[in-house]
Amino acid sequence: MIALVLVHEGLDVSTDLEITEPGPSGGVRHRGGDRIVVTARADRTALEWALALANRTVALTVGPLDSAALLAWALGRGATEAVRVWDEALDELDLVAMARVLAAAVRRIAPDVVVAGERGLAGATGAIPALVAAHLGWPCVDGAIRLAREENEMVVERRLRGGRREELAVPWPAVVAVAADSVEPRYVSVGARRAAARRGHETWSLADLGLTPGTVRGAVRLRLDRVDWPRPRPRRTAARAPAGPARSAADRLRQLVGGGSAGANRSAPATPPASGLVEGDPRAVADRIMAFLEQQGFV
Amino acid sequence: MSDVTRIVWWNVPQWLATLLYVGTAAGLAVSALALARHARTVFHGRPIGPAPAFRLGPAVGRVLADVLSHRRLLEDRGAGWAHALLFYGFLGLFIGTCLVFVHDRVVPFLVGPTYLIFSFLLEWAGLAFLTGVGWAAARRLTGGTPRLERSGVALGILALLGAIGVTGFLLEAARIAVTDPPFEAWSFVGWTLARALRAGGVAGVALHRALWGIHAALCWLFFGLIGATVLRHMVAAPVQLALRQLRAPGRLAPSAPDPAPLEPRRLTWAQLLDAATCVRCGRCTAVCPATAAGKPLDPRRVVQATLQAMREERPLETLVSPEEAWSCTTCAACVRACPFEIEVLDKLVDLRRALVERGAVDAATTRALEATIERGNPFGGVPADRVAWAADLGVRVLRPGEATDVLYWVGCAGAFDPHGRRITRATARLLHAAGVDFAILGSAETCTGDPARRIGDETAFREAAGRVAGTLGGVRFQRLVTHCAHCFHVFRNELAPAADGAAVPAVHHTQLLAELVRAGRLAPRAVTGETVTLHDPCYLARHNGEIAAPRAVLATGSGGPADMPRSGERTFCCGAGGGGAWVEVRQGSRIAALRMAEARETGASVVATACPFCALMLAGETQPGDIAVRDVAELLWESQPAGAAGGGGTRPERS
Repeated sequence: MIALVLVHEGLDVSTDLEITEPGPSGGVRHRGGDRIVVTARADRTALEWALALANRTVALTVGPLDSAALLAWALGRGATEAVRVWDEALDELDLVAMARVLAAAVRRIAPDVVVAGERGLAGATGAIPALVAAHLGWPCVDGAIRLAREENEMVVERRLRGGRREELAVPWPAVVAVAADSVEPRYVSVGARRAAARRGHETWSLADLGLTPGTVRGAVRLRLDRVDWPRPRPRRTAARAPAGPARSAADRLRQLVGGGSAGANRSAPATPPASGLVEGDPRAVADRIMAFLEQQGFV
Repeated sequence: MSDVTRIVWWNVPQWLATLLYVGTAAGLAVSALALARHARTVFHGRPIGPAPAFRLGPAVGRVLADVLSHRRLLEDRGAGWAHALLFYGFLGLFIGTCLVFVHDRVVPFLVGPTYLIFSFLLEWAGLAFLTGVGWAAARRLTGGTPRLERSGVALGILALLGAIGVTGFLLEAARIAVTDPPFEAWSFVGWTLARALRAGGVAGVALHRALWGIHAALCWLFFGLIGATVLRHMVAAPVQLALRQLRAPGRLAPSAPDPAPLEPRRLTWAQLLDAATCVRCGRCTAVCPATAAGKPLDPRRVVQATLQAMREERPLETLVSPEEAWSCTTCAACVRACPFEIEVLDKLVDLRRALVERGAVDAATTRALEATIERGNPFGGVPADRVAWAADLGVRVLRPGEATDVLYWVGCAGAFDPHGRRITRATARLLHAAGVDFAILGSAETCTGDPARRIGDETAFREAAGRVAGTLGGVRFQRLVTHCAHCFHVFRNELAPAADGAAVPAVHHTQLLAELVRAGRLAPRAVTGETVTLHDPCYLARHNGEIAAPRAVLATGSGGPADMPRSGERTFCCGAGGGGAWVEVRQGSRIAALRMAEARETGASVVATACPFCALMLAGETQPGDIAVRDVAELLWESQPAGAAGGGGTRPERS
């Protein structure tokens, strides 16, 4: 069985970013010029499942030469081959165009199953696996938390809302998107990555996939105009206030931390419920909070 | 007086004399073969990496000093004295036997007064030997020292030694009982026993001959057992001690060239020699923090497993479990306690390296390693946040090409951990107050690779070290100061060999602060009403021998801290070392909890630390209203007079 794993890397958006002109960096870059790149945890998980499922595992990424480190990681973990697709025309693709490139690469490798992370890095929609499947006309399963191989099909367990599970019989070829937390990805030592980097990877151009820059670029319909920082925004509530008497902020807080409301619309208990809510003169309250924090060793 | 001498072969027929030589030769040959087998394995071990050149003089000096003074052994009084009596008794008897041989075959000199004095001294040697053997056996049998094994081999060897001593005296007595020369009263033990034999009516040539044969046979057995039992240390220990100068305690060798099972030939020669030297005394296990906390680690067992791997030619992995390997904090208490400084942690780190190569690392540790690779610190912090602590302190950030007198290496814990940041702020303020020209590297600082190395990713360590060496190469400074004991250890001992660079002039912040107080540039610590006990970080006190500096900072003006029972070089780990801050071994209790209990027993109100990882671990064990955990720098800063502060504050910050 051949498994193809889609892996990708991107800017570590949890680090200090600044907004730039929309361009190759997607409108953000790291402050101070550091470039910290991370691999989505879901991609790591996808590789784990692919290795467990197949005897031949190909890691595929779309990216410039920098992505070699990502493929070295995949090879170091146990992937048998690694393929990087790159062409300058591939910068800044939208999802549909990217899926088209990936689908072409999948066709060329002709795996029995494509395993991808359910969601990529921040801002990811999770749509890529589904779009690739649509291009290929293959079945697609997302939210997979367990994959197993049987005689002529795979058994995939999905996690549904509310913690329910369903088990699907999936004929191959198929695309499976796995949940990031479905398995603990293994660590790949730096030594193993270095050794794998020496093994190298295949690089395919658009021509290798039977595509042209024109057809790929032509598929891009979206354009990035602007990136903004999140703005503090009042929480939107229901258009109309709920029926019943209005309750004070303190009352609502008490309800939150004390496990019940002492509001007028309920009969007050004989003793107020034990709660962490401190009331009174703001100065005195502040002192009590400080005393508490000091006592707990926070300050 | 010419008849006052020893008739050497009295009552010993020629065939028995011949048998003595044959048996002795056979016994020695058996041991020589076993020792040669060990020596061959050791010889084929992998190299330990860069080592100083071997110098014979200091090597012989060390062997003689350690062996003759028994200084390591005497750290446990009972064991030391028992072994000293046994050892010197044995040495006396051995030299005596050699002299008898010389007298018999070369030049007869044991005549007259010389013989009498010789006999008298040898009686004392025999008594010392038997006292030592008896004492050692009693220590084992009474169970007062739990670390001592009551195994058949251990007791059997003591019984054999005892039997050799007793038959020696008895056969002397049997000879005196028959020949009865009055001058043999100088052999006072034999003389007294001879009286008893005659009184009991058992004296006679037959008894003497039988005892002579038994005594000889026991000696053959003894010679034959040297190679196969812990008696091997008689030969291995001097070699091991002589070669000790090539190694530093706790220092790690480079990885084996490829990730394959740790068969004996893939262990370092030092590890193999250590295993061959171990006498199973258990001093290592008695001081191991992981053992004390009930974790699945027994250092003695690890060394013995290495010996077993050597004997049976099997990989160490089959004998030591991953849990044992992960339980070690690399504190090196075992190395310090061992009479031969046998390394335990290097074997465990080798096992970890194999586990890391297989990716068999727990989730928290994986995250720490990934963060070290991706973000340059094991905490997963954002590089730009490395200067967050300095926002209001006006600390200079050194750019490439710039120069400073003191480069303050903040370290990852000092930059990202909340308690670590308090230490950093206190240190920076003290440096400001003392008018030290210092700067930090800010977001250019990256992990020195200590956690990665001790967790077992040697290549990650080398890359981290190379990155640090590159950063340091781009700036100019006179001295580097760090408050992290682990960073300090890497700068002082591991960075230059790993990155093929020059040594870094690194000092620990306690050393610099002590120097500033001595020079009058900082006010000594004032008496505050707080009683302080000092927790010595393993990587400062034990691995690098710095015990005085933190005490000098604390003691000035306050009468000095009350030490915990385990302090200085024999300090007890906080549990953070060796990646312990991330690696989770659930079995047993927390090592830091044991240490905090010890700190509380001193009655002190503050535990002073000198490493942010110790602070992190120990503070995690405090309860509200409990003994406080503070760094030496925090304590010194708190007692600085108002107005002394440079930079951002004018008032000591108690946070």
